[in-house]
Amino acid sequence: MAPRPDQRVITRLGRVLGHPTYLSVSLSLLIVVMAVSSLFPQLTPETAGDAYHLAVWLGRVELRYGASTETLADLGLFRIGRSPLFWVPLALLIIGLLAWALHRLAATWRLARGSRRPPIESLLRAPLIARLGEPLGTDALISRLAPLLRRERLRTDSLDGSDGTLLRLDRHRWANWGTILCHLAPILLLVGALLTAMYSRLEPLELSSDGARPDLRLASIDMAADDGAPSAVLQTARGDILHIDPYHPARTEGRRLHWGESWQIEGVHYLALTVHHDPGWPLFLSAAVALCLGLFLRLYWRPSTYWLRVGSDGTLRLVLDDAFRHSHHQADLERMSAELRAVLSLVPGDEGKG
Amino acid sequence: MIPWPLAIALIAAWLMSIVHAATRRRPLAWMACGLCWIVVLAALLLMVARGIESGHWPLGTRQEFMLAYLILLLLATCMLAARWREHRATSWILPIALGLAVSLALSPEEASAVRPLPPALRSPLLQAHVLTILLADTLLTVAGGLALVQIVRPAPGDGCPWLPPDDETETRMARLVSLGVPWLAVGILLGAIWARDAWGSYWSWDPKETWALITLLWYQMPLHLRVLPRRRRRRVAWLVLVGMLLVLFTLVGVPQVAGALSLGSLHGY
Repeated sequence: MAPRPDQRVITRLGRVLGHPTYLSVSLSLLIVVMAVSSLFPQLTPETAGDAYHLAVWLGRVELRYGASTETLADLGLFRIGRSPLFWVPLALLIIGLLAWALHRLAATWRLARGSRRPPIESLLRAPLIARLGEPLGTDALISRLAPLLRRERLRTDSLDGSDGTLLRLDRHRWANWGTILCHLAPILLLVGALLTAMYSRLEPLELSSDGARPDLRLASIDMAADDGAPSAVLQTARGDILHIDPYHPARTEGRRLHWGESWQIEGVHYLALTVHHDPGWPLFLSAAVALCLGLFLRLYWRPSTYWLRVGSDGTLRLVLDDAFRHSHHQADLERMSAELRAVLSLVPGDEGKG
Repeated sequence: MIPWPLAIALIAAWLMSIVHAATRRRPLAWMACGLCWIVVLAALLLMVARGIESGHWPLGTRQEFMLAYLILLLLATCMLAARWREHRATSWILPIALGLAVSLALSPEEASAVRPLPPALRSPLLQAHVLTILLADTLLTVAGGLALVQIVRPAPGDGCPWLPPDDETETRMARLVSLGVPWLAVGILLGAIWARDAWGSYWSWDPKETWALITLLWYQMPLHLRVLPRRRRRRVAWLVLVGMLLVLFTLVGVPQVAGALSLGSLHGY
């Protein structure tokens, strides 16, 4: 059944948005915005949440940029993570990634699962690499190819061919999951970052050594430890002991406590902490780990799929799956063809003997 | 930070590799590699001595990072030449190592002094972050050297006797980018996890962070644009070369720019 006109428009739009040129342009825009923003001081949530530090930061910025401070602030150059200048190209990139995912995900999924349909048209058009002198059944062919398959770490599946034998030769097929992870994880990662930007909050918490709070007590504080960094020991209401210093937060009951300031009045030590709530972090971390895993899978164990067709007249044709076309795919194909001829003791072209 | 004789040895190695590329005399290639190995061993001894003197892992300052970068870069260059059995590319990668060695030799005493490690940097997570970034930078720099080979090639093909074969150079350049990019991503992630503990948030839009992310994003282009006809493949080489310049700018240029603009980078180096 022919697709409806509106379906054709959607398909075409998907192809345009998922095209490498569109993705390159939106990525370049994003890079330019980030590069420009790196020339301006950025207001962090920690500074924004502290009145004194915010006043100092604002004073410095106004002194430096003078009358143009307001314009720069309106453009969002001091808080690029929340600026439309950043979010617009990022949104364009995400739309492109989603379009790519919709356009190519099904094919990549089938590749990863090994259920991709053979490219019959490409196989029919592919140049003849050799001709078998005598007909070979699928099992006999696979056993003849066994040394090559072992050497090249190729997995074989035979498929029903209407005319002759059709073999799929896979290397690291499972690494195709990496492609899916690489392209979906950035979207989740940005959702995590968005949650952080929108819902993370900082709360002040003041502790003293006289134990005014029932849930948490400052057990001890060392202002001049041997390594130069102050440190403190906290005790929860349940009796748990927590260690904290300016660079190592303490965790208790799902809260993250960060060191703020410490002081002493009339023999009583005080410690100001900041409680961090960040609902986006678990998603951000999971997506970032998935992204790294996907990159390793895809780029360290490069998957490839070859299709080998042996016609009923003994002709051998080989193609590399379209999904694995790269700059040196022709060289790959020629090498593989030569290997096949060698293992089957054939000579190139129509003159081969079985 | 490193004595001048080592920088001079690298200059000699570079000149030998140039003469080898022009004349194809193999002993010159072996001598160039031998000199590189001598520099690697001497630099390793320097690093170990600094580690013993300071009492901490010797990657706490920019100078120490650059010394480690130099060692890995030379190691990668020698290993690439040995595995490839092709030494003509060495003359295009060595100038980068030479630049590092000269800048280390010229660095003032004060910058090279052994310092105690600040408390914020005493974290295994940070060590892993620095090591992964170091590994990524090395692989991507060598890829940049091979990109330079592809760019200076007069025409596609193997017609140029002083350059390594076209297809092999391109395959290796693409492979090195593929090997380097995942480590760069892991390095940035480890840095974010560490920063969340040490600074309270995993992303602060610090200039160094921003440029590391720009570099990672940039490399997505050569990774995705490999499917190009032969006549347009030089574009990929340009992208890889610019990627290498971004790596070097993030390492050396960003702290200078952040200092000049008083941006107050949170990164020590």
